[in-house]
Amino acid sequence: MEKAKISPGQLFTLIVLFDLGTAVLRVLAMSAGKDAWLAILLGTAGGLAIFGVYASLFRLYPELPLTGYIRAILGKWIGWPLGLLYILFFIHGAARDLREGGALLLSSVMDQTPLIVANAVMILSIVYVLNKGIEVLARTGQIFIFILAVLGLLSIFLLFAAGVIDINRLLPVLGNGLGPVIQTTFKQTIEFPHEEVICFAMLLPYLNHRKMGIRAGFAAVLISGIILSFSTALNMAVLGIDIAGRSTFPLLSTIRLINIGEIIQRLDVFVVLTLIIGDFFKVAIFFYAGVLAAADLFRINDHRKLVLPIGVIILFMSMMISGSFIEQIEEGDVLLVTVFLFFGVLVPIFLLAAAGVRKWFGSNP
Amino acid sequence: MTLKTGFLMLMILCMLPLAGCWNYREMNELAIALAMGVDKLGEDEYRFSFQVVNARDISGIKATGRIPVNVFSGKGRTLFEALRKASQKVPRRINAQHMRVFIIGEELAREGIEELFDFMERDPEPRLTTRVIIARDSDAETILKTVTAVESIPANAILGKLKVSGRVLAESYEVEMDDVIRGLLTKGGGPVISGIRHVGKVKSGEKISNVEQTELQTDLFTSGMALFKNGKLAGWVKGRQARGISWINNKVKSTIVNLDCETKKDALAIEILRSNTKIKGEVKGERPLIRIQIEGIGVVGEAMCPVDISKSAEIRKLEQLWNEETAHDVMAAVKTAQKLKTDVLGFGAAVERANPKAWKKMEKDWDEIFPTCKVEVNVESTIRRTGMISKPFLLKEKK
Amino acid sequence: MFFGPLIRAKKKQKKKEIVHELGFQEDKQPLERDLDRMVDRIKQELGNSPDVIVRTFQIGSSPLIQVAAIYIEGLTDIEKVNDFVTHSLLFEQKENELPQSNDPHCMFDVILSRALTVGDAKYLNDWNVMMHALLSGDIAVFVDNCEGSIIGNLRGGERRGVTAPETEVNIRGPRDSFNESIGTNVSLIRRRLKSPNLWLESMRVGNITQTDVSIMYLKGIAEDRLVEEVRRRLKDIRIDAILESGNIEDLIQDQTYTPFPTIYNSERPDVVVGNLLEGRIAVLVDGTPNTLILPTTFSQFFKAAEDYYQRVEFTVFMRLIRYFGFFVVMLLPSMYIAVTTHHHEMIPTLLAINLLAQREGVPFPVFFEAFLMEAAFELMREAGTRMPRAVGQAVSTVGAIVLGQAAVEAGIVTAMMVIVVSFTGIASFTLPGFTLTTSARLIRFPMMLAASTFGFYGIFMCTILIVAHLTSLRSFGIPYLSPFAPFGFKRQKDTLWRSPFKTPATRPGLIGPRQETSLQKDGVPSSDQNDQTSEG
Repeated sequence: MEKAKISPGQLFTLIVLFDLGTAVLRVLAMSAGKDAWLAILLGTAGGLAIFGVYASLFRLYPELPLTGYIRAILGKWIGWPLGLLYILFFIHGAARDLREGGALLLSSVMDQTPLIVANAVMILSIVYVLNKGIEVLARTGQIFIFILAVLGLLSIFLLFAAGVIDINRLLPVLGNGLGPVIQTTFKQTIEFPHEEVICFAMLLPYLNHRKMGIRAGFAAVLISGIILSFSTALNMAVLGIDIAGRSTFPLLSTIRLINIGEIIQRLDVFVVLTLIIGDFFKVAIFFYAGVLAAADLFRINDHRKLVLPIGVIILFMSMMISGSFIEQIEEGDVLLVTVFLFFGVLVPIFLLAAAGVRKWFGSNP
Repeated sequence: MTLKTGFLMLMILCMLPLAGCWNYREMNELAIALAMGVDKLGEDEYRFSFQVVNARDISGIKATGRIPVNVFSGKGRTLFEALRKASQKVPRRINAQHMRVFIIGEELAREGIEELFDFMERDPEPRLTTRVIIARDSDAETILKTVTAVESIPANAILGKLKVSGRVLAESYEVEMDDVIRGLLTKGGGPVISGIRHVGKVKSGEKISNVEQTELQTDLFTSGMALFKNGKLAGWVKGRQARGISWINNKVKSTIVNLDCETKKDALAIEILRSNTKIKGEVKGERPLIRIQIEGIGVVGEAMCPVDISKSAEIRKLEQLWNEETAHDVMAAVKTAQKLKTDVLGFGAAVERANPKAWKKMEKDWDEIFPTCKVEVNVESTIRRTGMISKPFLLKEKK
Repeated sequence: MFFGPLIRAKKKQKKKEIVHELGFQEDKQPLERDLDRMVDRIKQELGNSPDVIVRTFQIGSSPLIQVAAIYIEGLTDIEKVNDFVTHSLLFEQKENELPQSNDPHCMFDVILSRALTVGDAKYLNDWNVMMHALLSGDIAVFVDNCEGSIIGNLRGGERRGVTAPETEVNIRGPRDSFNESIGTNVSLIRRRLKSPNLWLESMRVGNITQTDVSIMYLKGIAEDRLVEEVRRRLKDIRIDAILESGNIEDLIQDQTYTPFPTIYNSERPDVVVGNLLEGRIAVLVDGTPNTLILPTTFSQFFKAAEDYYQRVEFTVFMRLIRYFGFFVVMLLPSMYIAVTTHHHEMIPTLLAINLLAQREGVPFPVFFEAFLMEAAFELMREAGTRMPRAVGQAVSTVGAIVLGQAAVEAGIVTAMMVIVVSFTGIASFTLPGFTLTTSARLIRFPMMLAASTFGFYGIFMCTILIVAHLTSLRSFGIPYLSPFAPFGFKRQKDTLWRSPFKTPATRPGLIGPRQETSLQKDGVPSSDQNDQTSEG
């Protein structure tokens, strides 16, 4: 394992970037209609609970990554294959997000460029950064989260200044009652993006201050949930629920509406930058989790050896993963409540329960 | 190993520019279409027209002063086909990213614009901020072909007219593509789109000589607003009705309200500086009640009759008059909309906000319920200043 | 190259710990007793160079003692030789006889204690050290039949005086700068820092050049570990020649292949002193006015000396301008390319029409046009630097006005491109640390390539890579991008922003919180405003 250490602040940064990643570009929880933002907020509560599970597991095994304590809890015979599945899960997650980011990029600003080229550029850059290790990734995140924050605040300010926000478009609150909101919360917003935070179960052992780190993690999940909720509400208040719901890239549509005196307009570059940064960190963290898991399972001391090969796998997987963007999104909705739910929520809860039982009977090896 | 990796990276770096610049497009490979228009020709045939700017002729030190734009058009059975057909005539790739106004011929508007906007929203090039205008009593191509004065690019001229008259007169307002789309999706309603009218001979408007005279023989001016119902143009409103629609949709930035004096009709003019409209719905029994609350602030701009506006009592009287005038405008607009059975005023949304459950029941029959809505208008206006003078000197003469 | 670090990532440098005091040290060789042989040997060793001056004379009365003074013309101050050596030995001794002594060593003692009036003189009996002293400009005095020599410091000769700084110009603040003499440079620093804790260590680097290299630091403020590390890296240098501090920089920096400088250099004593007070270490090299300051962070290159003399508000404004300038140099040409070739929709409409009008009839693609102009600009800059001063003016006139104007008039390049290039050029002069500008200038070209291939996507990916590269850099263990990444809120007082001196003063912590507390304990005179007010 790498000797590197990350600080709680850096963990916070990475989780926020990861959570926002591709999620901030889309309007989530459309099935809750105008109350999507509420569903996301409720989902964040669920996200905190999920992170609580990861944090408890980390407290029990502060030295071990996810794949490590799976084996410690379930034994080698079940733990190792499960760890193997986790590698695939992480790689698959990276490939999905790579694909999604690439597709959005192409549809918005680079319609003539082949997808594989755009994805190759992205994955090569990530390979370069991951070769330098988690510390570099975390510090790079600190720079870019700052840039994102500035862009975000500026965009909000400009949206208000341009007068395109109409709160009436969000009313009435709970027009259809709580039913659809709760349903959406359970079907979508708890899972996405919070269950993907399982990647950080691989990274938590790098923390230099455990207690503060966990607090920072909770804060990050909470804050990213709030930001997502806010951005969804903003998109709807600007575009109206119908346009926001049908748009493939609502954030871009929203920002494009900014037009102050025909001078401050055409700020698409803000969104493109957000897309690239978000996608970069999302893919990078999935990717890194996969690399660490593989290094841990196959006992490879220098995990950097694995970065390039796994990167190539992710690249080709991202090309083969689905036929079109629509298919990708449809698949995503299904995977969210099956595969992602299994790896992100069910397994960790089971692990925690198993660890609890072991401790109860005092048979912790 | 390490050397190999480095070499590989270098190779990839070198390959990038060779492999092709996919999206690389020079500016001078583009024909920037500043305005576009769509017409329907007979059965199922569309005509797409573009106003392409001749950049060299209007900008920079080498500006030639020749005609600043050219209009090209293409016909086809689908919109996309029409668009691509136009490329037979244009030597460059048509770029719609800078489209400022999108003009729809009245005929097409009457037949329905939903398919059109499906196409426009799907295409990534046009922006949602593009202004949409209906060519009143003419086709879009004619509007595009007309040369204009002051602003040499007609697209800019149309945009300017729309903007300025919307801001100072409020008998029309800028409608952007996203407003139209939202309008099309309104239950039992539709968008409101400003109209533009062509005056004079069509042929003379196409030549630059049209602008080589102080008063244009052929010109364009904004005129009224088109009300849509289920994606089809249902009727036009103009004048005070149109202003009423602006009031209700909270689009009044500034306008002039004429008030009667004791004796003289329309003798006082009040300039409105700011106004704000709120619509509240209420459901009592079958018929919903809509409350329209308007607050306005204005100044006295003109007084052609002897009225002593230095007294606050007089001012209050004027405010009262103003309130009545505004309420009258608004009611006229409501009547028209109800007659046309199209909820362009956002009443449905107001009801939904107030009582989502009741709205659920009414939603299906909103077409029928809307015309029966009761409407209460409440205007509260304040006259802030009386211009540079308080008493008109007509007052003195009288004595 | 940019990917250099990746390739070498695994290579671990094995450094041998060799105790090596002076870098060249051989066995100690005693000197000759016989004067003639001694003189001959020296002459022979230096190849009978005519600038070796040997002055022989006799002192004392009975017996007469054969004495030789050897020095090198030009390195030693001849006036002083006359005054303090020949005069004092020949004339003063005529009156009071030197006490006789048969003990050879005793003779030197007598001369040292009673005859020689040179301030800095000492007895020496080591061939190599003596030769080094001689070559450094000292005078060596030999006595017949005595083993050893007296080395007197009469270094002098022609040197450039202390003049105003040429590259780091300011409006307010001191006007002196370092020159090529290490002694002068040290004195310029000491004069500003009258602290007993200002420690100086000297060593010689370069097998042949035997260049004097000194490290200076404030004991108690600079971290001991850091000082130790610098010492170690300097001692590990194995090279024939050190001609300039740049050579040292190259040899002791953390990462060799990076476009970014990880060691700062300055020719201003006030800058060096300021940095010493922040716990940094200065490395002075004889023969160059450029003093190295380390460890260095990225933000340091945006700080001018003047920032600390001007008003805070103005300083903050100027710093923002400098950061802006840096990004302009790095990104503006590529942004222009991206916008005009990939993202036409992001240009405001009227500007788009204007650009389109300019582009009509221009034969080259934007990318090529930009490359051409940027290259031309670099060419002119290089010409301006290398050009003899007298014709420099002509170059800039011809280059800027004639070439640019003519190119636009001829329709070969667009006026907008000229504006972009000149704006980039002007922005490149805003940074006080000139070295970082060169990095930005270099990076600009790959950026332009990326922009023309992928538009903004290429630019942003490049930016991410550059930021990642920057965060991976370290300067003597300090992360290069600190305190931005890793982020330290308390350490933001002197980065983008400079807090006024009145704010509760902690040092802009470079390495850790250590110096903030240890200061008070050690009683090191502090530069903090608090202390100053209490003193005065």
